Amino acid sequence: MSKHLSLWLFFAVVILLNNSAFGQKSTKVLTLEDIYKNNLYSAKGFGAIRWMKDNAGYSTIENNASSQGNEIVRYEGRPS
Amino acid sequence: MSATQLTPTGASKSLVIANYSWSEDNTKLLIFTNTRKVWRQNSRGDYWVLDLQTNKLSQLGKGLEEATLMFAKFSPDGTRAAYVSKLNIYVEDLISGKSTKLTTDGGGNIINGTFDWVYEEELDCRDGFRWSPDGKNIVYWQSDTKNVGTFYMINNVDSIYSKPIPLPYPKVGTANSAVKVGVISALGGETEWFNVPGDPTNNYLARMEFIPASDEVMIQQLNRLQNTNTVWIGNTKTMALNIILTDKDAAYLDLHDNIVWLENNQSFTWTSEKDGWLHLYKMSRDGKQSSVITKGNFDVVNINCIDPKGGYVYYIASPENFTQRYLYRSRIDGKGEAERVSPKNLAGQHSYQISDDAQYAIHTFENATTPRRISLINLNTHTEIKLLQDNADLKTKMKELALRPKEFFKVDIGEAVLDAWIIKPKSFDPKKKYPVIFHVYGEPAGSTVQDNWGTGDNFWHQYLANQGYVVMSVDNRGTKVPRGRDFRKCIYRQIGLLAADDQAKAAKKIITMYPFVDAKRIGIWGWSGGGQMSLHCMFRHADVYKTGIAVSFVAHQTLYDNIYQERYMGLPSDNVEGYREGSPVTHAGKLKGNLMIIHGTADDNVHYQNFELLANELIKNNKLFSMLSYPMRDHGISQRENTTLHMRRSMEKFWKDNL
Repeated sequence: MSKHLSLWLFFAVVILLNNSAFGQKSTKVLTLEDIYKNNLYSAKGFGAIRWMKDNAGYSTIENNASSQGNEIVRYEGRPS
Repeated sequence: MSATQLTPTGASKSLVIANYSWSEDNTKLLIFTNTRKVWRQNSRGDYWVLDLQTNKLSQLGKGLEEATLMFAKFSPDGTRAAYVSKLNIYVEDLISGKSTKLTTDGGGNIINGTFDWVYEEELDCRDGFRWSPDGKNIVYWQSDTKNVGTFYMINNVDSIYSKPIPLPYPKVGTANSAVKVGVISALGGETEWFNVPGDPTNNYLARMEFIPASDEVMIQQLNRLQNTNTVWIGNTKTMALNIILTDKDAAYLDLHDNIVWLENNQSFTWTSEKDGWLHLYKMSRDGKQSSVITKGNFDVVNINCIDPKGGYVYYIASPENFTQRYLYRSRIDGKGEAERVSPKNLAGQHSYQISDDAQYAIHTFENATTPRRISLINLNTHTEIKLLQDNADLKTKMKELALRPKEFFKVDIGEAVLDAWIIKPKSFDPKKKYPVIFHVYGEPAGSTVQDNWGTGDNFWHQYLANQGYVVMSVDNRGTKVPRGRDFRKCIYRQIGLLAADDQAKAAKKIITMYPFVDAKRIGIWGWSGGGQMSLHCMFRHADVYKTGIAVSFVAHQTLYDNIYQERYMGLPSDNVEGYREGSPVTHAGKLKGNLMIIHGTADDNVHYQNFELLANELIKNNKLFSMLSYPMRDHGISQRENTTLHMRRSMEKFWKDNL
C-alpha cells in the first residue's frame, strides 16, 4: 500500500511539474489572430495613481461595475 | 469621486478619465478626457475641474474647439488653471469661469506653450509652460518654425485627389525652429524674453524649471552638437541671466531631469557620466563644488525619489546584471555605500512610484516569464500592503500555451561580452539543426535584451519559435544599457557600423557555440533603428545572413531628424564619411540574400522616402527583393483595420518561404 502511495505521489509530482508554467503540455495553440486581432495576451496595468500632497494617502482610477463608468477613488491616511 | 460626480450635467455617462491631478490643497481635481493623439502621445483633449467642496463639475475652455486643450495645470493656490489651445496660452479663473488669452500670435509658424515635432520626439519636450511659484506669472517656450524645412506626406487613399500633409521637420544639417523663453503676467500683457546668448536656431533650450519658492528659473541650453550643456539661472523679475554650470562630454550629452534643490536652494542634484558611470552629484549653486551621491562602478538608470528630509536618494540600478533593474538608495550626504532596497529573491525588473515621504510605493515587478505584478508596499520593509494587479488571467493563458521560457546567455565577441537571449522551438531537439531569426534594435535609444515582460513582440517571437525557428537577440555595444559611458558612447560618429559589426560577430560566435544552429539559415529583423541595423547586416554581412526583414527603417541618415542623428553622428559637413558608410543605402548593391522591406506611407518620424530611396537603389543594382507599404500608417504601422495582423502574417510567410 505504502509502495503504491509512493508511486502515486511520484506520478502526481511529475504531473504537477509538467503542468507548471512554461512546462506543461499544450492545451491551446498560439495564433497570430489571438495575439494581434483578439488581443488575448496584453498585460494589464493599473489606473493612474497619485500620491496626495502632505502624505494624505493616495488616489487611483477604478472601474465602477454598477455604473459602468470609471471613478477616482481616494484612500485617505497612511496605507496599512 | 463617484461616476455620478464625474458625469456632466445633461450627459448620460461619466467622463472617461485619461489622467488627472490634484490641486495643492487636495480640494480640486483636474480631469483630462476626450483625448486625441499629437504625434506619439494623446496630449490634447478636454479638461474638467471637480470642486470637492461644492461638488461642482466644470469644463475648462468653454467656447474653444473640442479636444484642443493641452497641459492644463492648477495655479499654485488652486484658484485658476492655465492651458494651451491651438498654440496659445490661456488662464481661467475657476470661480468666475472667465478666461484670459495670454498669447495671441500662436498659429502659422509660431508655437506657444508647446513644441515642434523634433523637440517633442528627441528632447521629450511637450508641456511648454510653467506657473511661477507665487502664481503671478507664466513662463513659457515659444518656437518659430519659419526656417524649418517642410516634409510632405501624401494621402492617396481618402479622396479622389491626393492630399499633401505638410510637416515642419528639420532634417540633418538643416535649420531648427528659433526657440526662446519668456515671462508673461498671468493677468495678461506683454511678454518679456530672456536674451539667452547664442543663435536660437543652433542651440536647444531643452529644459526650464522654476527654482522652488523663488522668482528664478533654471534653463538648460544644449549646443547644436549636444556635447555642451550650459546651465543658466534666469531672474523672472529682472530678466538677468547667469551661467552656473557648463557640462561637457567628448561625444554627446543626454538630458537628465533629476534636479532637486537642496539646502535652501544653495545646492542642487545633477546627473553626470564624468567618472565613466552615470551618477547623481550634489552641486553648489555656483557650480564650483560637486560631490558624488551615488558612487561605485555602476550606472544609475533613473532616479525615483530624492527625499531631503529622510536624507536619501532612491534610484534604479543593476550593477551585476545589465538586463535586470533594482531599487537602491544612497545617502544624499554621500556617506556610506549604496543599499539595495528591492528583495534579493525577486530576479527581474522592479519599478517604483514612491510617496513624497519615501515611506510607501507602488511597486511593479516583472521578468521574462512573469507579467507585471503591481502592488502597494511599505517601502521600509518592502512588504505588500495591497495587491493592485497581478495579471492572473494572463498567467493562466501562458500555462495553457505551454511556451518555452526565454533563456538569457552571453556572447563573447572579443571586444566585449554581450548579453543575449534565446527562445527554442517547442519540440526542440539539440541534435537537430534549426534556422535562427535574430531580432535587433542596436541603436542608442533602446535595448532588446531585457529581463522583462516586454511588448507584443514577446508573443510574436514565441509564435515564430512554435513554427520551428530558434529566435535570438543580442544587445551590441552602443545600446541603451547600464554598462557605463564607454559601452554606450563608443558608437559616436559611426551609427550603423560598429553596431552591425557586433551583431555579425555575435551571430558567427553563436554558430560556434550551439551545434543546433543551422549556419546556412540565419535571419534578422528589426523595426526603426533595428530596421536600419537589419539592412546593414543583410548588405555588409551578406555571408552571414540569408534572410532579413526591415521595418520603418532609415535608409540614409541625412533623411532623419537633426537632433537625434547629429547627437550621435555630428554634423554631416564634419562627418561625410560616417554618414555615407553608416547609411544602408550606400551598401544596397552588396545584397545577396532575401530581403523584405516594410514601411507606412504616413510615417511622420522615419519618412517613407527612406523606403523609396532604398527601393530605387536596389532596382538600380538589379537586386530582387520584396516590398510592402501600408498606406497612411505611421511609424508604428497600426492604424486602420486589420493592419497589424496583416503585417505579421506577411512577415511569417516571408520567413517560411525564404528561411
